[in-house]
Amino acid sequence: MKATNLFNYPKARIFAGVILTLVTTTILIPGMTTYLPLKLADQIAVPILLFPLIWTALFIYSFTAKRVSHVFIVLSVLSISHAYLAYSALA
Amino acid sequence: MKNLLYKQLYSLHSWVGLVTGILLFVVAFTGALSVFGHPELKIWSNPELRGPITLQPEKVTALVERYAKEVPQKHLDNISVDLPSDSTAFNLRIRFENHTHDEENPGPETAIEYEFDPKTYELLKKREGEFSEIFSRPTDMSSFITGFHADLHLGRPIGLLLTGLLGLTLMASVVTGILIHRKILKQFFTFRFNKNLRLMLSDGHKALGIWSVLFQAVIGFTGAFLGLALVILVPAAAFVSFEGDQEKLLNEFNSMPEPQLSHIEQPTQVLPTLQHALEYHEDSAVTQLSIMGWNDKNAIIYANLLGGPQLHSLVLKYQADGTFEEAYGSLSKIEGFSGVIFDIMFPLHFGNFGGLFVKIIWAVLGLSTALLPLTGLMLWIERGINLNKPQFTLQTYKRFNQLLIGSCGGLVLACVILFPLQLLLNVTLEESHHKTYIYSFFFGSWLICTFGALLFKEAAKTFKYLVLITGILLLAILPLDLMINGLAPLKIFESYQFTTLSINLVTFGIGFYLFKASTRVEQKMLSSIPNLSPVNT
Repeated sequence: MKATNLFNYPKARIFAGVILTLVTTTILIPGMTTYLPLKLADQIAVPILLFPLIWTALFIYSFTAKRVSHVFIVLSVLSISHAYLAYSALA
Repeated sequence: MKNLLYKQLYSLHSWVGLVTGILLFVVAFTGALSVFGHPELKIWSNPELRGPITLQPEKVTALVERYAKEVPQKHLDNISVDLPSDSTAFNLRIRFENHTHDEENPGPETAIEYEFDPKTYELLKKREGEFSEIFSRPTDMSSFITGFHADLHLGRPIGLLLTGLLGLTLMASVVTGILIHRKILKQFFTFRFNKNLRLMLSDGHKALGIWSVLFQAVIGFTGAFLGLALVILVPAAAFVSFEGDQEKLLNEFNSMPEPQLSHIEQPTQVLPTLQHALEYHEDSAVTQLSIMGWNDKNAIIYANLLGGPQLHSLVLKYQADGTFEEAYGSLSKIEGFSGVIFDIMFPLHFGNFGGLFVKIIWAVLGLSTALLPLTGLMLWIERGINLNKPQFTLQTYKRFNQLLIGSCGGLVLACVILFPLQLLLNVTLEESHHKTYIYSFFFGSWLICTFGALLFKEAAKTFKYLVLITGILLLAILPLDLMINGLAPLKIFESYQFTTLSINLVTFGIGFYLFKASTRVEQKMLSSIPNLSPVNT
């Protein structure tokens, strides 16, 4: 079976899986430091340590999600919420 | 539905491998070599470091005290002593550092460095200048290979970003690989090497993947961390907690903080400190001493230790009078659990935590990581060619096969070329000129092999010649070394050059095997995939 038959909107999924997941995971790091109930060092370190795991999960999700719109919604919600958390902590 | 998910994961696994496979081979193969980069290949590359090195604390102390009187006072902010031993593989270097980087006293950090022969303690050279100049060490084949593995010599941030992203895609391949190979236990012991090429590649790919899955997950994770830490992770983490100030974040977690000087004079006791550090654990090697606040009552001496019962390196802290205070990992002292995890990242990636045995296991598993994308790509080509309705034209598969042979075989050959080249450079040119030749020969031979394979359409013959030339080069290393550096490695119980002899014998053994194998590979390849005969036939 061809890849195009397996994945609907393959170009959108590739964009989401390659570019957006990296951007989202990077935004998650400073955002997560604001709410993790850990000591200061762990609060900074845990998001760093989780980075490869979160990226892998989002990458696979980007290609296996039933609808491509779900992928964009999940990535956008994660990015916007964590960007807001980081912004509020700085403001 | 489950069937669709399985097919999606399978397709994702294939495409990730297809896009990153060659690069993964390049990084994994040089990674397997880098496991022995320090100290084994370093010792082999530098004949003056061969043989046992016994550190004499009295002589080191006398040199530190003598030169501390000679250098200007401003260069006594920190005295770093790089200590030579069988495990560290460098000359004795004493560096007097001037850290004038505060707001009141801006300017670059400078140092005066004295380098001594590790056996005779004779002064070899004196260097003075900014840190960047002092730390730009001459390139040898060992540092070239380890540097290439880290950032492909593309520098920061591009090189680190690329290898870091490769770590991420390796993790994605591992996860999708596990999910699609559900009958995992059965595949553990299935390897039909005497059947056709397709079965052999398929079984080999699965068996390699399953047997080393944990290793690959660890390498992917630690590789992603080491590659992306300075480029993405630390800047992102510092964004909120330290308002984007990375230096502030790094200082917060500095394991060797500077002392508050009392300005009361008291001689700093280097000798008892060094003696204590050397005896701290029989399996540890002291790599460096950092003396902060020379001859001040509040001076602190830090000793860095490599090896020993713990996975990570150790920092020993001493007072000015040589009293031992505490021992801790570089980041383990930080409150919380994450410091310990950070501390073991580097040793877990390079396997330098349990002696030679662990290094050998790491190198073998590293080679299996290099073979995985290779077998995967060969499987993709073989399956593609034999499909009733191939996804691409036969010509495309053949061209890709040529590219695969040229780039991967060429990389192996380019790495092997560095061994005889290093021996010849050592006796013909000053070490400051080695870099140009090492870069030129490595990238030149790699490019020639890659483009040569694309132009020379007989893939099986190309493969045969690559194996043959690599074998001949490996066979030449032992006699060339004996001719240039004398017979000392053979007189093992007089010279104690175990590392040198081991490397020479291993390369000779692999060279002999490849030389013999080169006579068979062409025929085997042609009989296995008849369709891969010359492109135009």
